[in-house]
Amino acid sequence: MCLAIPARVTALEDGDMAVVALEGIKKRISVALLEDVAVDDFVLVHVGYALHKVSPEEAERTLAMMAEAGVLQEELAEIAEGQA
Amino acid sequence: MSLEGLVEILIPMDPQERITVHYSEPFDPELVLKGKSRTEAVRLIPLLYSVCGTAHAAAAVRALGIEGSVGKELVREALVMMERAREHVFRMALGWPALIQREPDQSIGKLALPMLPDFSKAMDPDGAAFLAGSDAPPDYSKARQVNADMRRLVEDGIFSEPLEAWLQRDRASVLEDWVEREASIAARVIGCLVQQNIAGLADVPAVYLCDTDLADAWSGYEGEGAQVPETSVMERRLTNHLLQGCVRPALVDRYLVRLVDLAETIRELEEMLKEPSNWSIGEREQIAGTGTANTARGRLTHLAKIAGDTIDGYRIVSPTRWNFAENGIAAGCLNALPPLPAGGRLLIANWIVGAIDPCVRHEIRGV
Repeated sequence: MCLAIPARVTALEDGDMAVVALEGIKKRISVALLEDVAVDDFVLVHVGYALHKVSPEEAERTLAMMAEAGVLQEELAEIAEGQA
Repeated sequence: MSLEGLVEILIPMDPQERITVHYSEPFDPELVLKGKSRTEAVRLIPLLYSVCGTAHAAAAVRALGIEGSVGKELVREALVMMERAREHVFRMALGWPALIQREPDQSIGKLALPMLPDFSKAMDPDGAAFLAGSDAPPDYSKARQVNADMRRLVEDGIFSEPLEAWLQRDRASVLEDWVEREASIAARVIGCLVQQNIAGLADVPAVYLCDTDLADAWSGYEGEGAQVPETSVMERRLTNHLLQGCVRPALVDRYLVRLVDLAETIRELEEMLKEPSNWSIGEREQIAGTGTANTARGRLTHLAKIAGDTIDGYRIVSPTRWNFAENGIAAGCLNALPPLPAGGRLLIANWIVGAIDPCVRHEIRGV
């Protein structure tokens, strides 16, 4: 259902590819459609492509909302780690 | 549980055995929305589903009874249409090439990406289209320009000819002349179906959600063995001459209808924006607590239960929920294939799944 889970970019690779952390799993996605994606950026992923960059604040808000519902503890832990 | 949801298609090695489809629902939005006010819910839903957030927001305001003026309804509808057109372009440019072992056309994806935000800025300058109350007037001139850019992009990159020229073709002309020119990925995809002699496969009788009472459809869903109705762009485009009425749409029809819907959506948006004051909401099924929006994959339904001022229950029924149900159209198409070795069934299953197109990740496995 095209859920908008913000995924944090953990590594950039050749050929406009990147590794993101999503639901505690590392995934390879394409960042070819976006300009200037950097490690630690948050992106929304759809059909294997990063389609939007979201600010850390927005990512945190969305993830907190999901966490409030009792899910996504791992992502929140990663954000806290990234901000430490 | 995966938050994203998953469609699993299991293909037994024995060609006589039934192919099974299993859909795991993504994250349950009720967990977030229960206890919230209607206004809060409308603000939160596009955050949860921001990739297709416009359609979700449109379905949500209808389910939550957040009425808008005719002008506001026009803005909402126009935004949903632009999102639908962009999603078709993404699928055709980025998803379809894999079916014919080609690289995705990222240049088209890159050009399509900003069109929805640009269109939103023009139609909904203060971002209030899905909230109650009045809002800033749309910049129709700018919106028309973005839609014209979308038309140019799909004429150059998808149809490789003007939309009207393509829509005026008859079926034979599309399946022979247009595909033989191989001028775009879309033409090559349709051509590949024809050349591989699989265009006519998976032609099962269709039962559409638009012809079914929602309550009946739901009980069919839960009843054992009953066929679950499909929802797809086919419902809206059945009368198009290229689809021949489609009582039994075959594999090629399911790809053609995407192209028809893309071309017609852009043209309908042009008409709507040409004389906005002439636009009317038209007939819309009104069921309290139910809201729908027409997406690139079919009808998206939101169901809301309100107690006092807050949300007591919330359910989202995506097109994938219907189409990839155990007895849904995907399972019907997959099991209508002639007996083939598992490898052949796997190959064609990819085409079928690509045509019906789940909105969550999918896996096709031989077992």
